[in-house]
Amino acid sequence: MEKIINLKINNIDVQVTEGTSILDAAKKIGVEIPTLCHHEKLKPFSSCFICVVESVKTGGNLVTSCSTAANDGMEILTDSLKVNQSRKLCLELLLSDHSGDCLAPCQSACPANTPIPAYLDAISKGDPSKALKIVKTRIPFAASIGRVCPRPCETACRRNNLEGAAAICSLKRYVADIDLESGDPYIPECPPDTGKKVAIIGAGPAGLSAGYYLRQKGHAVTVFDRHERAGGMLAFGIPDFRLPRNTLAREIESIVGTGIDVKYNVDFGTDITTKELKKQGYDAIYLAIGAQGATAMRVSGENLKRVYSGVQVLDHVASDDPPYLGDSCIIVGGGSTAIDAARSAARLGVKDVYVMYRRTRHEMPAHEEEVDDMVDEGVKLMELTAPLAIESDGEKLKVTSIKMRLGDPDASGRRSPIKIPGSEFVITCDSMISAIGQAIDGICLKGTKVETYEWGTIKVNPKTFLTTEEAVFAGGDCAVDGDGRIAVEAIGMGRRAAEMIDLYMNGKPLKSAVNEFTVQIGSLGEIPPGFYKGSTKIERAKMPKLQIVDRLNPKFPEVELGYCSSDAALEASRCLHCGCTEQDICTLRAYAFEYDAQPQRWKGGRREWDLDDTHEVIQYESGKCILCGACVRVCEEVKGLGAICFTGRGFPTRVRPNFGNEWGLSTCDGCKMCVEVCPTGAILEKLEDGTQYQAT
Amino acid sequence: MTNTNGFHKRIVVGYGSCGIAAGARDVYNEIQKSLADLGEEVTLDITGCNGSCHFEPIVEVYIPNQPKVSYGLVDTAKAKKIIESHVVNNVPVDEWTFEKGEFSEETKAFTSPQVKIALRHCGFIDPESIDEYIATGGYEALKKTLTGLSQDDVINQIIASGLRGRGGGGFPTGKKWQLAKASASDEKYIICNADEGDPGAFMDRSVLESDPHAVLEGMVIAGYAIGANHAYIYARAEYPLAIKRLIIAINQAKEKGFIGKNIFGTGFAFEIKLKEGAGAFVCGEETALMASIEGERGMPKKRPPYPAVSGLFGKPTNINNVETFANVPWIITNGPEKYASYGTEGSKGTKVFALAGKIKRGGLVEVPMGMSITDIIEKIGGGTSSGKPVKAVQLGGPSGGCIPKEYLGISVDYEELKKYGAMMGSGGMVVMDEDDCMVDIAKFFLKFTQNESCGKCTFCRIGTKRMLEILERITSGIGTEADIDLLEELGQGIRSASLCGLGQTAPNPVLSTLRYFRHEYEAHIKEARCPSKSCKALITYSIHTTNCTGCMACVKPCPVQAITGKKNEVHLLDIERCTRCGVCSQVCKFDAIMVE
Repeated sequence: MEKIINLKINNIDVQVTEGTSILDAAKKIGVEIPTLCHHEKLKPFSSCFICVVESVKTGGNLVTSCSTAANDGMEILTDSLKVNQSRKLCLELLLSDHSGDCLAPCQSACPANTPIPAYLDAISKGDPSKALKIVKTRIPFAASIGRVCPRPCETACRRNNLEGAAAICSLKRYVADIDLESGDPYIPECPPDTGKKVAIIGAGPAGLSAGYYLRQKGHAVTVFDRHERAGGMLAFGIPDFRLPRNTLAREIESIVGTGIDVKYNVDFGTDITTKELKKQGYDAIYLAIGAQGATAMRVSGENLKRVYSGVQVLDHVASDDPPYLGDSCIIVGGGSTAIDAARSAARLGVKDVYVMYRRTRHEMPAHEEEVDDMVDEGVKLMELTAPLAIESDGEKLKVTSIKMRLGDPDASGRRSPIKIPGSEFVITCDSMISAIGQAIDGICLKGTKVETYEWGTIKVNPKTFLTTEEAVFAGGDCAVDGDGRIAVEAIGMGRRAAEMIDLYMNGKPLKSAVNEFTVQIGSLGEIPPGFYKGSTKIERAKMPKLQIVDRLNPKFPEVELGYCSSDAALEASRCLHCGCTEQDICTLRAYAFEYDAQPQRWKGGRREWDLDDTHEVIQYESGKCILCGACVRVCEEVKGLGAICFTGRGFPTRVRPNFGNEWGLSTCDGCKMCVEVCPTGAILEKLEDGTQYQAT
Repeated sequence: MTNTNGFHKRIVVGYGSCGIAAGARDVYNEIQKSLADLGEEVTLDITGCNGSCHFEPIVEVYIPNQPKVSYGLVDTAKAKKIIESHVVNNVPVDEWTFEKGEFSEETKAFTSPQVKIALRHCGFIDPESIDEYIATGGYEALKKTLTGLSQDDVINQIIASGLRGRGGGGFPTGKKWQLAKASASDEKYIICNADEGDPGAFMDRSVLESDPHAVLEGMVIAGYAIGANHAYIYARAEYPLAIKRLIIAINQAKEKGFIGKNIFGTGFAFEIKLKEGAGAFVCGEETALMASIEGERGMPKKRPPYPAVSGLFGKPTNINNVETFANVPWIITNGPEKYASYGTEGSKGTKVFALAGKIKRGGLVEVPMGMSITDIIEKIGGGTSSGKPVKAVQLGGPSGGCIPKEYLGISVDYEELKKYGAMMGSGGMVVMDEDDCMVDIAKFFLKFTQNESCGKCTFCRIGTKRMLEILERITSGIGTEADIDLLEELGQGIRSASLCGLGQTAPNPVLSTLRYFRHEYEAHIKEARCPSKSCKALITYSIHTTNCTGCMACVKPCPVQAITGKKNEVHLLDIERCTRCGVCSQVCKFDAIMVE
């Protein structure tokens, strides 16, 4: 008879037979101890040290649970503070030497974390409806964002090192337009009512996105907005020539169609308060009140007649009540609002439209293509110029300005503008639009316990989205600063806040279940040429646009006309499929998320990215190897072949086919046992095309 | 041989690696040539290291019926003179002898506090002659063991002696043997760990080069005690002389029947194989060492099972290091009580140290346990070579730690050293003075362990690399205050989550210097200043305009032509060009090179 061992794991009595490891003993009481190097097919190895547990009776030392046998009287803790700190540090160290992409760089650059390669793949395979559904897991406003986004994803696209980024944004629009024009737009299924209800203030991208995902959890959602129609800044901050109001309205219909109740013309702070909403039985409140105020230029005369703010002008234009701009108008700023205001002015018949910007066009926050379009439409750029004072001169405005030069990069990395003494000059115009930044109008928060920073932004916990008032969450433009105020960011925050609100209402800990963890091979400049091996040159598909003469029309017809299906499929095929095919099953990534690993704490020398695809069946990305040795051991212990081995010593130790050969020259017979035991995406079975992406 | 009543004259040249490095080969050849011309029959022999490495090459002259005379720092010219004067005309050259010459006092100071047990034959017998070993009582202990003692008797004597593992771990040797004996098996192994790898340590090499039979004899005794008939000596291939002499010794012992079948007619059989290691430091770790013998990559395995239960080829195995085995015959011959009469409560007998660094009389010393570090450094070693005060002593190599001058009064004792953040280790003792930067020292040792990590465990492989990078930042003057916390966090993490001793102790040099010399780390970080003026990125050289005499001495040696000037005019130093190598300050006789 086998001897029986009695021990305690997490203060629970456990009985196992002699020789059982602590790891297996813990399984008996349903405790899964994480491990990377251990595999049931293999002898214990104890190299990763993720599986450490605390042995209480031996002074609280850490032991590897995979290779330590349970002993009589042992007391083990599997998730004490000490254990978790060690595991976290261990993961951070492993990841600091992990040179691969979990998520594609476009996806991690997207504030909404959209699974871009997955939807591009669907488009290239001729399945726009699948692509749309993938987009909608992250972006309810696919048609709108597909038109107005400044595209941080495309800035990060690895194809930039070849002929140019993939047209990620416009392809989103392509699938969304097909959906909206189908007459039966996609509306996700929502589960039965949970009985919980949420009040959302603001029907902009942040508010409606939160509502959309909360509905998909089965909660009742009521959205309050002070306007007579929904869309927030998408409706009142972006002119029709970029986002036609019809398109937006149809898209909002598909969002609200999930069962969101929108109440218009309700002024938060006056008509309703958080206190009252709670009294009415709302379990949670989400503030998505936006930032419709304008940042002051801090120059004298900015309150004069016919000196407007950009948001104000765009709001009036969207309400078909444009202000008087005269024959000449100077717009100050370099962001999307400035560009939109200038292009609107041009369409409203202003003869001389100037955009005055203190840096050069290369530093403008607005997307390059918008600036190009604006210049094509006749707007004149006054780079390296800033206003100093505005004076009224009869019906005219006299603007004293100064020339600037670029100095050293500032905290944002952009070169800071410096005034050139003595370069002052005066320019005259009929009207002026200041569009240098948005501000939050915090008056509506009076009477709540919601605290703001002195510059107006609402204080929120960046992970839970909770404000300083109980049950009140916030997100979108009102809860981010400066350059972060873009629609896709608001949408990302809306989705994440919805998850938190759901957890909150269910009394669960506010910890996200959506793994957005990623490491990266490197920035664009750091990508080795080998990464592009085998990719063929395909020029980026040109976006068909309205002729210039047809654009300058007070009806604001849409400029960009959208891709045709053949262009779209070809363009989508330009995707390099960065990102790891194992991202959803990679044990390392799952633990990194679970333990909130911060590998950037240990930034330093790192293995280089390298792909060995010389073998017929196996491909090996050594940058992703964590040296658990499972492949080496399975090949020797189980297969009996020994085709893989460790080489080198110290930090540069590597796993390589024997004699350091390429895989194709090794004795590997392609049995794929190593693929099965590899806990990361280092050893993979070769695929015909690199396309097995799943939306997460 | 060491007796002075032989039939003819005899000359012995110190021919250990230290002697050879100091020029013993030329001296030997010169003597050989001179003797050939002489016509008189004079025996020329070699011996190993007697510990006074600082006086090598050493030549000893034996004239029948006269006391032995030892000469130090001999070169070919001196050798010639010694033959002429002493060997031929019987007039010793007194000024060069240990006994009467200029360093006779120093020699006395160096040797008199020492107690030589493990090194008892080193420098006295010809290591390549088994007859000399036998003449000094060699293999008597083995005879006594095999013909008169039971296995338990032997083990009990070793337990009673208090001998603990001299390789660093300090596990009681007798207990270890007892465990191995208790494991039932058809086959058992003895392994001698001769994979000494700590930078600056050469205790085991010296014993193997100077007295290989003592180690073999200890191994056979251990084999008998635990019931093993097979043994391996795992020696690093970088020790060619030790390996050569081991091979000679093994063959001689086989011929004489001390190794082989039916030893001393008792029916006990024992064979010893020599396995050369490829020089991976980690192979000094017992499980990695065994993997290496088995033909696997030298990577440590999880213990338990301990080698005593499942070791080499899965069989019960007893591993001891060279010095431990060398002590064994002496204990059997002289009795465990005699051995235990030296030392402290928990640490008995003697310990060999390799005295190195900024020490006046460096070399191999063997002292009774319990002697204070100060005594070793000041009395035996003669203080620092620079004459400046001692700042700290590094003990235990890359696994050990630094003990600051305030605590150098502590005694050499396993537990005591551990209490102060260092460890006995295998016996490296590196002396540092004011000019040594403690951050740089920590970096040196960490770099060693990082390079030598087998790469298996996450913390050891990546953690030590990150620590090293942080230290590099700090010594380059770009460290941040958070770096010290990061070092401590990593240090604790690596210590508690690594499989073998290499990883578990790798952070020790950093943690111990952080414990005692935190202010030096802070000076590098907060003030971008290296208090010892040794970190190149943080110092600048300049010429003192008053002190400089314009002697031109520094102009030529400067490898980058950073110093210019004319005779008798104050020289100029171009700090842009200067690589801060320090050559100028070494050659300047007028204190005119300033380092800030």
